[in-house]
Amino acid sequence: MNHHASRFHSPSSSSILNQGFSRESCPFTSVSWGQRLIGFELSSNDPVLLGRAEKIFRPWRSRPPAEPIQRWWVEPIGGRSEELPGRWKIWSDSRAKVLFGSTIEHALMIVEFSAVDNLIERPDGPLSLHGALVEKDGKGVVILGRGEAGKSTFACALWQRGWTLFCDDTTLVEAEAASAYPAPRRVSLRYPSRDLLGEELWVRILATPSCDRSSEGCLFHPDEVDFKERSASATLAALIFLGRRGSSVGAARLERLEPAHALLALLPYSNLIRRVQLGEAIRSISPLANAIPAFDLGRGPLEEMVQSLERLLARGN
Amino acid sequence: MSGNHARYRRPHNVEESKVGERVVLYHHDSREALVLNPTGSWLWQLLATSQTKPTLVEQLQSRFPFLKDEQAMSDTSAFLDDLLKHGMLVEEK
Repeated sequence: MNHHASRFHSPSSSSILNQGFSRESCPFTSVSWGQRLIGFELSSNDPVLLGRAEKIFRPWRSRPPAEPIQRWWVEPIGGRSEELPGRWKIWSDSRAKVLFGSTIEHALMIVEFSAVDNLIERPDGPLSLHGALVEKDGKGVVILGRGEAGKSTFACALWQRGWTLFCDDTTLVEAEAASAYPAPRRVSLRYPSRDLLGEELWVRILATPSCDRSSEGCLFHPDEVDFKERSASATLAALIFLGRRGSSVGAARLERLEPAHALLALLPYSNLIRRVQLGEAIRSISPLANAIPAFDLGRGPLEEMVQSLERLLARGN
Repeated sequence: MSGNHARYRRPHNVEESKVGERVVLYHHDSREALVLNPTGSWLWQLLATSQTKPTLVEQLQSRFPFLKDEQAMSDTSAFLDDLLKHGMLVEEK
């Protein structure tokens, strides 16, 4: 991979000029983004792709770390981007496999998702939970559940009622500090969410600058819809399990889990379970289970689920 | 189960985590985790040093004075048997 790196890190030999772009009109050859101390860098000699990457990774570009943990390169196959439909070649310094994207948007989605996969699988990476992160009145809530449990649907229902939506799928957690922050990936909505959100909001989402359609729905930044400024992280007030196996909680009702049971319930949703031995995972997640109250929330009418959660937070758990 | 003179101690390959009122045990070899109830968690703390069953029964009754002899013995035996079964306890004869 190093020969690729030297190729794109040497502007004087770059093919930018050959493509008819002056270096002044293409001020960068790479885009960096990251969360906390984990950073990524994407290089390309295609200014259109880099311009698009700037939009997609914007929320995580304010504090790029000094040294990226992973570098990506994306280049068109067989010439200029204007000659699309072509295919885009994608590779990185930490994976042997070369990937291909059919469009700029598709190529960037691959980088976006692969970077998050890399982040959560790194042995020295942060604790992550498979769940959505939302916040209201300074109280952060992680919504956990298996695939299709309704995490995104519930998170979007809260968003529509004034909550801040940080992310829908992967939440990074600092267990000792009881704080959480979103993995650097756009929110993903599936087509069935269109009915929940309503046509007007769906159309607004599709019109946002960073929105891309995928085969399953669309990816977007919620702050381009609600124009709310988001803090970098949220202070956690509750962990909510949707459809947890073994739970018999009634519809839209909340039932508190004892911390030890919350710990065991959290394990399957954490990246540690694949990364370290169970004992170490238990040790790492214990502070979170001790500090943050966890609840089962029974699935029911969304409005009632929202009200249950808002009542819980209003009375301070 | 041995007689009342056997001593019980924690094995070296079991790790404990205190979570709320409960202790979560993790066995490094079997990779099994066990959540103790609050009373079991309290008994586990006593097992930081090796103990005999009668000592544990006595301690349990001093914590729960209403507990009858038979019940205290039965509960303690069940607790020790369960931990022994999962390899979370060592019996020294």
